[in-house]
Amino acid sequence: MKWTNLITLLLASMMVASVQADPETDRQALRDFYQQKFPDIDLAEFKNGVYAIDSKMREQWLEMEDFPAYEIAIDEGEELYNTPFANGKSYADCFGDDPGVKHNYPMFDQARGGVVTLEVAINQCRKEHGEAALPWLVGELAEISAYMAYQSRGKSIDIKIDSPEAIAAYDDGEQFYYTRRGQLNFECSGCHQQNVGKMLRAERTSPTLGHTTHWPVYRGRWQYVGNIQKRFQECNIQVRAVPFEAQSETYRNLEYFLTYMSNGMELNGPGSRR
Amino acid sequence: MKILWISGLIILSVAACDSQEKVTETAVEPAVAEVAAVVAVVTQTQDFASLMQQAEDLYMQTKVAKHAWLINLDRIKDARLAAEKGDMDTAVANAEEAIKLSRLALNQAESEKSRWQARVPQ
Amino acid sequence: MLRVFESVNNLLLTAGIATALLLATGLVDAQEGAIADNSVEAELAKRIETGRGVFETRRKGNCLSCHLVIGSELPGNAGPPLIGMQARWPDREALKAQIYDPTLRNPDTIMPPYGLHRMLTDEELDVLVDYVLSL
Ligand code: HEC
Ligand code: HEC
Repeated sequence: MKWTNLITLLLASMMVASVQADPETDRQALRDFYQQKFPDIDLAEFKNGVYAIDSKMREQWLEMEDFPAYEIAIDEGEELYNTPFANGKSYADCFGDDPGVKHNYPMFDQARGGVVTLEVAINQCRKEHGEAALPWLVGELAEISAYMAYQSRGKSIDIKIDSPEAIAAYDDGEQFYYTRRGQLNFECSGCHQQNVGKMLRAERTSPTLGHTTHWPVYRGRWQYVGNIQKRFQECNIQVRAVPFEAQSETYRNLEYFLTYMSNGMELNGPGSRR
Repeated sequence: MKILWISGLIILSVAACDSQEKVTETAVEPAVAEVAAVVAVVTQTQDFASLMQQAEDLYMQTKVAKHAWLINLDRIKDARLAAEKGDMDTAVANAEEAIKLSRLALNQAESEKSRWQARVPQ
Repeated sequence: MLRVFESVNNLLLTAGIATALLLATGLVDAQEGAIADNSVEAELAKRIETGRGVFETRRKGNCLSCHLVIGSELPGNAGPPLIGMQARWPDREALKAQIYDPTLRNPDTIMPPYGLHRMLTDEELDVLVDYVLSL
C-alpha cells in the first residue's frame, strides 16, 4: 500500500510541477524547438521575422528597407518626444535622458499590480503631466514609440519576471498564446509554432521567437506605422474570434509573455512588413 | 309534380342553410383569426424576447470566458434587425443560431482549459 | 426469277425496314439512356461546381489557404495536397466527417471543424464532398 501512496505522491508533485510555469525553462525550450526546426538558421536572425526563413520575401523586404517607410514616423516621433508638455515638463522627466528604454518593456509594475507596456508608460507620463492620453494603436503614440524603438536599436530585450504576481501575469499570457480561440479554432502557436514556415495562401507564418523585436511596424497593408497590439487584434480576427481591447489586461499579459520569449534578442525596430 | 315541389324545397333549405353558415363564417372567423394572429404575434414576440435575452446572456458569458466569436455578433444583430422589420421567423432563427454558437464557444473555452498546456514546447 | 427477285427484294426491304425500325427504337432507347445519364452527370457536375465555390471562397471553406489542388493559384501548404481523393477516401461519410470535425481523427490538427463549428451547412458539406471526391 505504501508503494501506491508513494506513486500518488510522486504523480501529484509532478502535476504541480507541470502546472507551475517557469518562464526561463519555457524560453529555452522554445529556442530549442526552433533550432531543431531550422537547424541552418541563426536564431538571432529571427528578429527579422518571416524574412529570416524566406529568402525570396527577404530580398523584396531588403529593397523596402533601403527607403524605409517608417522613417517619417521616427522623425515625427522625435519632435513629439522633445516638445515640452503645457506644464513645462517632458517625456525625459519620465524616462530619463536616454529615450532608448524599449528593451525594458513591458515591465511588471508591482505598485499598480499589472503589466505596463511602453505605450501605457507613455500615456501614464502624459497623464502625470496633465496631458490627455493618446489613442493606442496608431498615430502620435505609435510615432513616439517608433522614435523610442529607434533609439533602443542594438539593445537586448531584458524583461524581468520576479514576483509571484508577475509570474501570474506571464502565465496568463502564456495560456492565451496556446489556447484555441474563434470559430476557426486556432491557437497563436498553431500558426507560429506547429505550422511555422508553412504557407497560408500567400502568407508564410513567422516564428514566435523575434515577434517583439521590431515594433512598431510600418505595414504595407496599413500604409502607416502601428503598434503590436493592432497585429494581435488582426491575428484574433483572422480566426474569427472577437478581438480584445488594445492595452486590455489580456493583451498586456500576452505581450509580456511574448516579449519574454524573445529575451536577450536584439531590438531592431521600428520595422517594415508586408 | 309533387317530387319537383319537394326537391325544390330541399334545394331551398339547403341553400338557406348554406347561406346561414356563410353568415356565421364571415361574422366569426375573421375575429377568431385576428385574435389568433394577435396571440401568435404576442407569444412569438415574447418567445423572441426571451430567446434574445438568452442569446445575449450567453454571448456575454463567452466574452467573460475570453472566447467570443465574431459570427455571434452578426447573428444577434441580424436577429434584432429582422425583429424590427416584423420578420419574426428570421429573427427567431438567428437568435437560436446565436445560442448554439455561444454554447460551442463555451465548450471550446472549457475543453481548452485542459488542452493548452500540452502545446507548450518542453 | 424476276418475281423471286422482287420477292427477295421485298423481303430485304421488309427486313431492312424492320431492322431500321428496331435500330431506331434501339437508338431511341440508347438515346433515352444517354439523356438520363447526362442529367445525372450534369447534376453531379453542378454539385461539384458549387462545391468548388465553397472550397475556394474565403468566407466559406477557404480550403486553398492550406491545401493545394491541381491548377489552384497561390495555394497554402499547411495541409496535404488534395489529389486522388476517390481512391484514398472510398467512404464518403468518412470524408464528410473529416471536414465536419477533423479533430476526431487528429486532436492536434490545425484544420478547422467546419461542421461542428457551424461554418458550413450540411448541404454545403455535401457538395464540398462531391468536389473533393472529384479531385
Ligand atoms: C491562422 C494563422 C495565425 C494565427 C492563429 C495567428 N497568427 Fe499571427 N500571423 C499570421 C500571419 C500569416 C502573419 C503574417 C506573416 C508573419 O507571420 O509574419 C502573422 C503575423 C503575426 C505577428 C507579426 C510578426 C512580425 O514579424 O511582425 C505577430 C506579432 C503575431 N502574428 C502574433 C500572433 C498572436 C499573438 C496570435 C494569437 C492571438 C497569432 N499571431 C495568431 C498568422 C496567424
Ligand atoms: C488551416 C489549414 C487547413 C484548412 C483551412 C483546411 N485544411 Fe484540410 N487539412 C489540414 C491538415 C493539416 C490536414 C492533415 C490531416 C490532419 O492534420 O489531421 C488536412 C487534411 C484534410 C483532408 C484529408 C487529406 C488526406 O489526404 O487524407 C481533407 C479531405 C481535407 N483536409 C479537406 C479540407 C477541406 C475540404 C477544407 C475546406 C473546407 C480544408 N481541408 C481546410 C489543414 C487544413
